[in-house]
Order: sequence, then C-alpha cells, then structure tokens
Amino acid sequence: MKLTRSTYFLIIGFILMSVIPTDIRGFSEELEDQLFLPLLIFGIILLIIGIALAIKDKELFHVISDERTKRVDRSAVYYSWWLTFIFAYVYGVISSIKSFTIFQYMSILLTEMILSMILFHMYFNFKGEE
Amino acid sequence: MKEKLQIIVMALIGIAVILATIFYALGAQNLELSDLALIVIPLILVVATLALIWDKIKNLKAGLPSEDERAKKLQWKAGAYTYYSTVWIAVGIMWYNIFAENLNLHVLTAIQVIAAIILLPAICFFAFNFYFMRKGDI
Repeated sequence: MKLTRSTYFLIIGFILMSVIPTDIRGFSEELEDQLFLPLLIFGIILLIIGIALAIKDKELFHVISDERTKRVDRSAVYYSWWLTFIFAYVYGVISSIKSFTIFQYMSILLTEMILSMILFHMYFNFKGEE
Repeated sequence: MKEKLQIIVMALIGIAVILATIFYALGAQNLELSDLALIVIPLILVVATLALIWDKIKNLKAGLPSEDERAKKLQWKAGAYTYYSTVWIAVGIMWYNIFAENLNLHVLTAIQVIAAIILLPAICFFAFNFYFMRKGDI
C-alpha cells in the first residue's frame, strides 16, 4: 500500500469527497444534498495538503518501501480485519433489526474497512517501534 | 501483563457477542431459518474464542509465551490476505445481486448477505492460516 503522511491526506480527502456522500445518500438524499458542498471543500483542502506534503517529501511519484513499512502495512490490515469482522456482525444485527437495505449495509461496511485500515496504519506508523 | 490483557479483551468481546445475540433473538419477532444464521454464527465464534482463551491460559500457567514471532507473522499475513478477500467478497456479492436481478436468478436477502460477509472471511482466515502454517517459511 505504501501509505505515508502525504497519502493519508490524499486518501481521507478522496473518501470525504466520494465515499461518504454515497453512504449518506443511502440513508437520506436531503442530508446528502446539504452535506455535499462542505464535504467537497474539506476534501479538496485535504487533497491540496496531501499533494503539498508529497512534493515536500519528494514522494509524488516514488515512495520508499522498507521492512518496517511492510510490517506496519501488514499489522494495520490485520487489526483492521478483526475490527471489520466484529463490526460486520454488530452492524449486521442492527441492520436486520432496522431493516436496512443491502446497499446501506455494504456501503457502510466498506467505508469502515478503509477508514479503520488508515487509522490503524497512522497509529502504528506514528507509534515508533513496530 | 500483555497476555493477561489479551485474555480479558477476548473474554469481553465474547461476552459482547453473546449479549448482542441475545438482544437480536429478543428483538426478532418471527425467527426464520435464515435468521438462525445470525445466532448460530456467533455461537461458533464464541466457542472458537473459548478454545483460544483456554490455550492462552494453559500457556500462561506453564510460563510459556502464548505466541512466537513466526506465529505472529503468520497471523498478520493471513489477516492481511483475508482483508483483501473480504473486499472482493463484498464487491462480488453486490455484483451477483445486480446480475441476479437482471437474469431473474435468486437475489440474496440482507440476512443472507450479512451471513456470507461474516462466514466467508472467517473461513478464508482459517484457510490462509492453515496454508501458511503448512507452507513453512513465510
């Protein structure tokens, strides 16, 4: 995956602009209309910060991948999967009680997978020794 | 200390899953066969967790580490592969439902999708874990 401090901003910006509005639309189109512009502006700001950091760190086209990065990648994905597994069950129970559609279930689940992976990655990356 | 904390966290997750299952069983008005999947799956998971806790307690009492460096690496790798499998399983189920609607095939219900999303990755994890364990050097 080769996530770095610049790609965190880029991915979170992309999620805010594309994934989150789709999730919200699954529940309420009116709310999505209201939140679309603020999310878009915030997403663009994060993208700009991400690109600026990538240029500053000289990582725009090439990202260095060492042994530690690989370990951080793998442990982040591993813990994210366990969280997803518990989330899929708990949210599944809630969705079956509230009669959510398959789209509502899947969109939130996929968003949780991406977000939890990035958050775990950030945590292990900034933690130091891993 | 870390191993004791792990055992406590696992026990807490097990209790949370049992409580969620009880709430679900009480909340569901008419339990159908497909609803039973959401009760049977967590029970299987809780039994598996109990086996793991038992193994960890046994190792802790004997003064042995509950997992070594290779086991940890192996689990990380299996977990990472399962994560990617879960993404493709989720996308595959959505594609299947779109095709099934157009081709007049059996469309999966929400309960069936939830059961598949929980069961298939769990099977994948055990399969990858078993494969990497047998493979030797990883």
